[in-house]
Amino acid sequence: MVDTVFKVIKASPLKSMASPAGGVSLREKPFVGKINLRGNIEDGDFTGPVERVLGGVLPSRPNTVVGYGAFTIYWLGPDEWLVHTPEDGQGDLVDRLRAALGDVHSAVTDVSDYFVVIEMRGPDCRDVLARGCPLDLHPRNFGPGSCAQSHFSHATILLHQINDTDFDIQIRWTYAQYLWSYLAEAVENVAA
Amino acid sequence: MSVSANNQAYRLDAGGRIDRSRPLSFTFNGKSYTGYQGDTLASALIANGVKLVGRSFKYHRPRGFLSAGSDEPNAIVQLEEGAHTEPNTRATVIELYEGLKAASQNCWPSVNHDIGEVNSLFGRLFPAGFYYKTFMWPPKLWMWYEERIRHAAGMGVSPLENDPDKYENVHTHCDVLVAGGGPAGLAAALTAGRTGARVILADEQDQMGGALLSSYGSGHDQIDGIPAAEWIEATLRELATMPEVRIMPRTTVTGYYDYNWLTALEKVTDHMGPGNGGNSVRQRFWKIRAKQVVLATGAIERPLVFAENDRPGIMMAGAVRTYINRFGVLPGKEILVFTNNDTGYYTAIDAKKAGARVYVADVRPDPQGALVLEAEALGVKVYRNTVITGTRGRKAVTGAEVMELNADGTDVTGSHFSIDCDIIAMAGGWNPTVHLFSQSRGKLRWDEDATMFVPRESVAINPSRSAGCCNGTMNLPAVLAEGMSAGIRAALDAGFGDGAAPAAPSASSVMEEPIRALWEVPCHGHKKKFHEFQNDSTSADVQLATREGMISVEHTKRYTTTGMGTDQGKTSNVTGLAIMAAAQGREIPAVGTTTFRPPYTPQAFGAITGQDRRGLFEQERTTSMHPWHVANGAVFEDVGDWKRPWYFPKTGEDMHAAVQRECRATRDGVGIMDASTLGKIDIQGPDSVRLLEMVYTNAWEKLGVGRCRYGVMLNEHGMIFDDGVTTRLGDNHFHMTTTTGGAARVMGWLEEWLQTEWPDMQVYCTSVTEQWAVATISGPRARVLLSELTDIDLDVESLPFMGMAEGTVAGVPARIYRISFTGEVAFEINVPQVYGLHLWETLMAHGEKYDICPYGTETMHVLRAEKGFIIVGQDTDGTCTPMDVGMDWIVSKKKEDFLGKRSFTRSDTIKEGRKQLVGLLTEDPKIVLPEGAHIAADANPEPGLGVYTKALGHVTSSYMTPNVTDASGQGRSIAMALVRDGRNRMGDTLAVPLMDGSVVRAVVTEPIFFDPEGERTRG
Repeated sequence: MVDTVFKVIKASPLKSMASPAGGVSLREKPFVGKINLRGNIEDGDFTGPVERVLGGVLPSRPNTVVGYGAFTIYWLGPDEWLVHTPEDGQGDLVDRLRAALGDVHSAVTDVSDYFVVIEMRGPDCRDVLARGCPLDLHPRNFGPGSCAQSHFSHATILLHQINDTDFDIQIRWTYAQYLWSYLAEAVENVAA
Repeated sequence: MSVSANNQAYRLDAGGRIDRSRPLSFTFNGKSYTGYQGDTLASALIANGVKLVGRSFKYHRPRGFLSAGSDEPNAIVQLEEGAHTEPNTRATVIELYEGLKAASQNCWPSVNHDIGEVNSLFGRLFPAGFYYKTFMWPPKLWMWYEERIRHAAGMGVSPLENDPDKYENVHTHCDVLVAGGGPAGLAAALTAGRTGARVILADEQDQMGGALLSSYGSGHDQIDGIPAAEWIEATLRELATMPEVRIMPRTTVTGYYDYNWLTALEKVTDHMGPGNGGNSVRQRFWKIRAKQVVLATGAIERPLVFAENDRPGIMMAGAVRTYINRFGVLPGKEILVFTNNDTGYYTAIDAKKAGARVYVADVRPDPQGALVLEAEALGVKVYRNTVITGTRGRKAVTGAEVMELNADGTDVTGSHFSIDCDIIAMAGGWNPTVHLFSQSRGKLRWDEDATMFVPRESVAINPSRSAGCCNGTMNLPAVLAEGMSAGIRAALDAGFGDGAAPAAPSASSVMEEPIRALWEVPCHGHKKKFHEFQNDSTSADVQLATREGMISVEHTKRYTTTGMGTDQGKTSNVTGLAIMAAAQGREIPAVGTTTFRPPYTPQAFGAITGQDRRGLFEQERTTSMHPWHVANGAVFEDVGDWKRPWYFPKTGEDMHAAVQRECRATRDGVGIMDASTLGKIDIQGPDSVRLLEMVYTNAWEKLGVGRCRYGVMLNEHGMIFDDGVTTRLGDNHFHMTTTTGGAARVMGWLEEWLQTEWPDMQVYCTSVTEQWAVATISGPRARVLLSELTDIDLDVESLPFMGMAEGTVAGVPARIYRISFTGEVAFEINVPQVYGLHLWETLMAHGEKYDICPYGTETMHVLRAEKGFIIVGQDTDGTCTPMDVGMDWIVSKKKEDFLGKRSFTRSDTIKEGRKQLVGLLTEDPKIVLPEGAHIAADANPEPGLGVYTKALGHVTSSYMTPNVTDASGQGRSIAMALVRDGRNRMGDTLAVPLMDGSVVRAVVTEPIFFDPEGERTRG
């Protein structure tokens, strides 16, 4: 059996990418724990245990985000949510959810490395997003606490508005550099 | 280059919306000129007395400016040079900038001396359909002819360099999109904007105002008692106070698609000249989703089809007026207005006031309207019931012959007389610009009194309203009222305001007498009468097409090339089909119109492409191990959108040497491959097994927890479309893998069946492709290497072939799958993606003492081919059943149902002699067959033909391998092939004829070349 102590370094796909100059800054928020949760929200045997573990009710309004302590929960679909945990909290949360749910039909899946979180900050976020995302992000239509799955050019994204101007984008690991480069050019174009 | 000609002899001393304090120099055909800020290239050239700008497409006749806008068919020029050059640009819409360079196109050697003009002398030899009639025989020479015709016709020159400019696509949304910024559009934007609705007002010109810009300062443009220009200013000032209103000049709405999705092209920096736009994009392509649309696109004037009506200096009357009022240019000193309606008199009056000598020939018997009388009072000579029967002048018109019309307008009568003139202004009536309305599938109605096609519905299929001239409403007061109403009602339908339109502003209105349509002006003798200027289509061409049996308007269009130029027949189409209707003895609406297609005006490919070029053209997906591959010299292969290492050459190695080394090293020691790209799907729920039983052909019920099984997926036709290994992680929990390229397809396939056919199944599928990084180690030393790094017991009893165990590897959580695609003892080590690079580097470091060898996709292909493992999509092509590829064993005979099962009772699927997967060994072991090579029976070639005529199939995979040896112990080639009735040809020798004429003979074998018993795999 192995007795070596390994020096473990985590990798992230955007470590080497520079933030563009302009009205939006880009930053990777690395190593966020993420869990995909599926289940029937009308079934108390599902929502009861889940809500006890998460500390609050699952969002049922489409395209909304709620936060309970360390957890942020994104509505993805009528029976699908994404839960953010602090770094390396995902394993524990998967275990607790599975234990709480027992035989109740559900799916608890660790997707921490499936998605990468890019923080977009600055006054031009909407204009930058318009250069690839077809959603209407006008304040009358989309605001802080809103989230939506959409696409940015060829990449599938999960968009989350943080406050009046700022957004987080979640993107699959292997599309992250492509998206970053696209956003960076859009930032420069908006600034020009 | 000549000295700058700064006289601008045709420029008026005052007036116009140009800035005389800002002169701009430019060159046209190598000659220097000066214009002013606010000019177009056309207005500046006209100011300098330039009339000849190009040659027509077929006859190479001299042509000048016809219009003052985007409808221009003649004055198309090559703009700029080098990488910035752009062909087929219309001089009438190019905003002048300092240093602009333009040149005529479609002429050689120059516009003044053009050899192609001889075509004109032989005009009767170039009738409608000439190309079809002449160059279609012999058929195989068409390509040759076409190239020559295109050179002779010449549609400008494409740049050879990369486009140095940037472009972008931008999505946007609004409640009300107003297309067109003339009086109707401004009024609509104003009333819609006042409700608080989100409004976009887009116009193709650099400034709002539309037709009002053409009457600027003329005295015929009062709105609410003030000049129209002041009304525009006031309106724009009010719109500027509305935060939700966007004014977008230089933005043409080019396309109108379903669900009120529209495209628009914004020319951001074109007016500054190349290289002067700073870091800005040159053009922006807007994708607009509008709740409501107001179309306020105006109208386009149509020419009169009279004899020799195409000489330079013969222009649209409205254009002449635009040049006078907007640009301060009087295009001629002696102007003959030829009209069939009152609007020609606006031009006559403004030209007269600007100092020209003006005549009017009016086809109407006795016009006495207010404008007619006003013109006469100013001293304009009006010839009533009179038409032009011919013109003079070669490179510019110098005069016209006129005659009286007979009573019914079918012929001329009396004696002709001559009028000297340097401009003929044609006023043939107006066509509402219904292009966008028609694109949105709106239907048209022919208004016989107004002689125009107008929108049939007030609100079209897609939620839009037409307002103003594009709706057939031509009087300014009515235009303004209609615009205000359309804006307020569009806003209401979008959820804003109360729909009550305020009183429309008052405006000057001149009672007009009716138009007298005269689609073809009679004359004596055979003279060309053009209705389509760019492609040289005449009334005689349309009549000939009718005589030759072209009844459909679409056929006539193509036969005569009417409306097929870069202007899409904006000036010509309606006139052309009116002539066609007359020739066929039908009514105009019975003939119908051709289809209006986007874009409304030409748009650069760069703008449509936007940012999607070079690195952003398509995403490049890479794994977390990728940085190591790059640092260690991997050569990459595109697999779907992934970049995968193809092979890892050492210094001095070519691909062959590298792959042979990698193949040997893996069989002899240990090889390592990045398998992270495999598609992965996590399946949970009590019906997981039911799902697998349906989507795979084999049985899954009894698979134990911690065990893996290979499966193939079939489509409904029983054909293989993906394969992979699925592992049972728990009673109701599975980990499915798919091919690299098939990941999204399989995920979609599962969801489609679950959502549409099996909604009762309690199962959830979640894509986890990126969650797991995968390093596969294979070979006799794989186990000893891995055992140094993991707490998992790797003994064959604990972790047998097709088993899975969880634990740690290299200090991080991992799953080890004992799956082998090489035929060796192999471990697929899965770790969370963040640890992928760490895992790879640790394995490489610890594997050094075992001579660990990284290998890429090519070696993977060779090693699996040695074992006869298929690659879906390479050894199969969508027509292969599992039986066809020798995998009868994987199709359960006991299962009640699975996708594709029914197809195995179809006669074609079970018939004898289908193409089957076999191995091929060439007689000469050094020859590697090309993949895709066709296979023939080894009979003699067909006598006399010298070719093999009966193809049996083709080579699907073919490699040189060091691990399968020939008689002398050397590595040899192996191949797999799909061969008709292949299973019954074992041992036969077949022929593979190659492109170079040689024929390679190969023996049919089982498609397995190495360790057929699989002993190495299980060890």
